Amino acid sequence: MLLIVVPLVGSMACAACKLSKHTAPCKIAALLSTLAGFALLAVTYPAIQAGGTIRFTAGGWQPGIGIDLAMDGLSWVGALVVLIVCLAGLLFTLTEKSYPPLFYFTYLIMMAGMLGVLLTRDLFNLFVFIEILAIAVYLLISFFEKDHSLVASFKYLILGSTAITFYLIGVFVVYQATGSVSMETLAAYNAAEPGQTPLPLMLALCCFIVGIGLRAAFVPFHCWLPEAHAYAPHPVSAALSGVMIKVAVIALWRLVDLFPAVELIRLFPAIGAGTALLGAVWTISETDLKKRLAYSSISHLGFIVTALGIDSAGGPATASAVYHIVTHAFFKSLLFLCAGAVIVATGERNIGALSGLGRRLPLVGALFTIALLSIAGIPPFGGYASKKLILEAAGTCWPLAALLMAAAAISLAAYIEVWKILVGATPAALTVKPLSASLAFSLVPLAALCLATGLLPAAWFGFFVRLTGGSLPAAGLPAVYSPDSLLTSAALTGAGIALYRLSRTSGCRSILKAIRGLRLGLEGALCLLLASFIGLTWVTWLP
Amino acid sequence: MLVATLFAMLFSLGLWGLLSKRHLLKKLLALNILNSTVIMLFIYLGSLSGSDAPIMLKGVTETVDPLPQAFMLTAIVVGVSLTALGVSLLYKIHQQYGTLDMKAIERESMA
Repeated sequence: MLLIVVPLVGSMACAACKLSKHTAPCKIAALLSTLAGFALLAVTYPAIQAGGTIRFTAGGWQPGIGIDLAMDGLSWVGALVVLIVCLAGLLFTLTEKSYPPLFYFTYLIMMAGMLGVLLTRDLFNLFVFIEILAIAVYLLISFFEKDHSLVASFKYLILGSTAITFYLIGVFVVYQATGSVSMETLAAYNAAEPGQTPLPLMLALCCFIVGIGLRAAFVPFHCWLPEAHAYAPHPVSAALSGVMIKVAVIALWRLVDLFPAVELIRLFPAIGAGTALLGAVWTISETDLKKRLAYSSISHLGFIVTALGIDSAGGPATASAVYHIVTHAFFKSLLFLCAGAVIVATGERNIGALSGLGRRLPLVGALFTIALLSIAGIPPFGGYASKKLILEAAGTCWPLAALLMAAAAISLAAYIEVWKILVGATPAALTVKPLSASLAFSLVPLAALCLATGLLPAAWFGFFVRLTGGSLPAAGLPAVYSPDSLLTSAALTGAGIALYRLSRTSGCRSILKAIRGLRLGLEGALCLLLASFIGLTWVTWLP
Repeated sequence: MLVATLFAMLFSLGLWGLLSKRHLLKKLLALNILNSTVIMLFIYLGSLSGSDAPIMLKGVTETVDPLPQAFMLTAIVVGVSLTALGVSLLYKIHQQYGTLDMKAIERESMA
């Protein structure tokens, strides 16, 4: 489909630019490809409005034999978010002169890879697009070869390739069993004998979870994420944290949906809640600004996985997960771009060494505050609405809700500390370079979207429910701004402030330093990968 | 049975190399062994379904299943590009850190 081809064509134009001396055409080509993507999304919207699907088989073959591509509501929302965040990243790169044409070339390939993962309905094609996306990302992370980005990219390469090997084994098992690698054939095969998926297919599901779960970075598979997102160039971090891990979660969700009767799916809320809490604890233990934001991505991914796992069919919890995907993409990319602006202006990454930036960089300071309010879940921003909906979906199971609320409170304490870099007096040792005003083009729209997704949450929720083809809950649309949810939010904020005070005491600081030292290296991450694969197969083997 | 054992041994060899070798290039080579094992496994299992190569010449009827071979061509290409990228990353890593020993690099990069 055109949506994938257009960024690829744009990247070819950028590659051609490398041969000539002018860099302007490649930036124009990059912008044009992204805007063309938006136009294509607008064109396809009427067809997918009420849960419909547009299908396309590559090469004109019959569906099931050729490579199937399909755009349904979930893909449409994902593609919209990918395009918005990638456009913001592109506008960020335009404010500095130091990005060569090869950067735009690889960036557009990454965008094409993400759109491909969203649109494909063929298991092997998913492997191909994930590898396209992955190779572009490995190149982008290590592009400027600054502080530890090479090692981060190499670790991600090793972990990603090992995981995708497991995924390939799963694809082959499915091919042997069903005779085709199309997702529809697999869904039909599983639907033909409900309640009794044969053992090889369940092992294939474990392989899929390990393979794609590593890209999605929830807890047993998260080890590559902090370094990769922290040491990547700033627009790349925004795209990685904002959309790439969500695209992998959506792909994993599609795969898990093909196996409706499997008990393994009931593990997902627990995995998600655990990820949320652990991510929150790691967030508060970090002192590097971008690493703190990267760990908080893991925590929010835990929220999304919990919501997706709560009801496996397209119910209201799935729509709240999609809502959180959208709001998190906006505020996380805004956070990373603002953090990037701060690092470019001051050259300093340590939170302890930064302060008083709100006065010196007023625009960035204001937008950083908006993003922090949104991620902390303060009304009226988008983060509040989506977190509230996920907590409500988890409300029936109190251990889950307790874990999620604890994660929210601890993360809030971490964000208060990040906010502190904007207030106070500027230390003498800090030099603050002025930033170009055209940063506003990339940052202000994201901030506006953070606010817009928080107003009228019932309308947004209904929109996502319709797009994912689910049905509204029997009690009607949930009330997000009701008095008791505002009270819960106030209680969480109070708990967060108390935890922040607690974390500044010296006893707590030494605990956090110890937690910081406990990070797993590459071999630890590989052991975790294998152990979780063995754990998943063992759980599958239990009757 | 023998074939299954051989494949299991090769796969474990790849995993063992990834986990236990400290030199980053050896880890990359172990990853290659892992990839090659999976590729060979697919092609072998695909070859059990017929007897001739899937090239439609005159008089060729009993071809093996061509689809695994097509998939594995893609997988081989992906593996080669990943190895190329990995080796160039290792070259730059060596220039930056002066060593390719995992423990030394991690001590420096995760300090």
